[in-house]
Amino acid sequence: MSDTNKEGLFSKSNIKLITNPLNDDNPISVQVLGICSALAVTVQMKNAFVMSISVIAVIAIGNVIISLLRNYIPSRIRIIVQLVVAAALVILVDQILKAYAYDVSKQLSVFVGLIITNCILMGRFEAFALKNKPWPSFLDGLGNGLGYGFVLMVVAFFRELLGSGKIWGYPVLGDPIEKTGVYSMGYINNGLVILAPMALLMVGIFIWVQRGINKKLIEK
Amino acid sequence: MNTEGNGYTFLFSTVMVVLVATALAFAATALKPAQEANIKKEKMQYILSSFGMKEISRDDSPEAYKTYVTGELVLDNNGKEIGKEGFSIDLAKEKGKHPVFIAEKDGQKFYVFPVRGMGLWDAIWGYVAVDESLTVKGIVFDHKAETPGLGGDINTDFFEDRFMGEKIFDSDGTYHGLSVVKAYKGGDEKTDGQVDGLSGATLTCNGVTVMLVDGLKPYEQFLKSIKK
Repeated sequence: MSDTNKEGLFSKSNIKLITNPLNDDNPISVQVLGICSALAVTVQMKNAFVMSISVIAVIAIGNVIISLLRNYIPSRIRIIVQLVVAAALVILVDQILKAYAYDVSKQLSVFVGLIITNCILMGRFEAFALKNKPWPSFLDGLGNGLGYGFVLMVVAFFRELLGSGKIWGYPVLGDPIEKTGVYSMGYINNGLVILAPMALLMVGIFIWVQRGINKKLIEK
Repeated sequence: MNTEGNGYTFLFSTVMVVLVATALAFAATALKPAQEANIKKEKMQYILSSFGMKEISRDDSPEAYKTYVTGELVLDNNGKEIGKEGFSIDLAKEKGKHPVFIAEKDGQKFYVFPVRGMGLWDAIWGYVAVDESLTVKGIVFDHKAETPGLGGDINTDFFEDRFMGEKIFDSDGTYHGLSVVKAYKGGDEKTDGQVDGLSGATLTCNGVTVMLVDGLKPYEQFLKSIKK
């Protein structure tokens, strides 16, 4: 594992901590963690974006805290300690959103609270932060959060476009009620894309495409 | 240091829980005023947009509320006035108290009635604005967790606009409230208080109907008394 005393802050192995989870070791499409929220909050890009930012914040800060405490945490209660850290951070994020980003917090509703149960968090705490120094842990948290956010944004892009004809809340395909744009040619929004089953299929398609491009991921 | 002993484990968990609890309690107390202000401003926004002032931003709403809302009343189940402080009443918690908001805009008087009910997944609520002829002049809905794109569309303009001009009483003066009907055949008929539903959202729309019919019922006597 990397050692910050001998290496620079952005040495090759440290940079890999950020870039790996984006593709080769993506938490959603390769490790298949955090699927539940990926299905729930990807109806609109804006929600997916705030959810991604929240997860990145919680996982990066949480990783640093766990890493700082790693030599003091009794191993018999380490899972509980990880849960307490995750829960405390998630409640903080939820409260801050309610105070300063009210509209978004209303739309995300329970899903912010459900970050606690996001397997990526516990996975990173247990697998990485407990064994590594704070700085690599921070980068690892950042990388995994970004990898999660990346998939969320891609899925949300297609779901919002095909399901409601919008991108980031802006109607790009015309008005479905007034029948302008592509709607005048008989195109209609696909209601199924809005529902959770289609999100699962979208994640599936994402995994398929990713493995088509990145041959390393194909299991023998 | 032995980090595996029972004593250390107890000490560690106790210290951790106390620290985390203190931090969270501090954060919750510090952020509470901002959160409550948001909820209050949002309620003002609902009331303002119910009589057509949809473009007011949340931060401007207290100012506009002061200008346009001229009075508040609280009615009991029989429509008798029991108080003046309507704004602070939470329909979800206080039963038997029905607030009325009286507003004036461009010389026209509006009465705004809050309603609250259940959608398919969670709470739905709305504000109904009527004029002195008991015609709906505007309505605003919102929901906590209805399906986006289906039941979630109850808070969109195109659905809310369907209620414009509907009557709460029929021509004989009998209360029928407002209702959402699946595959409505009445076209532009405004006296029946019925509007067309949203396809794919029948259960949410049924919830809206129940909310409107039951929610406006306590105001029946009051509505009759303001009719001109």
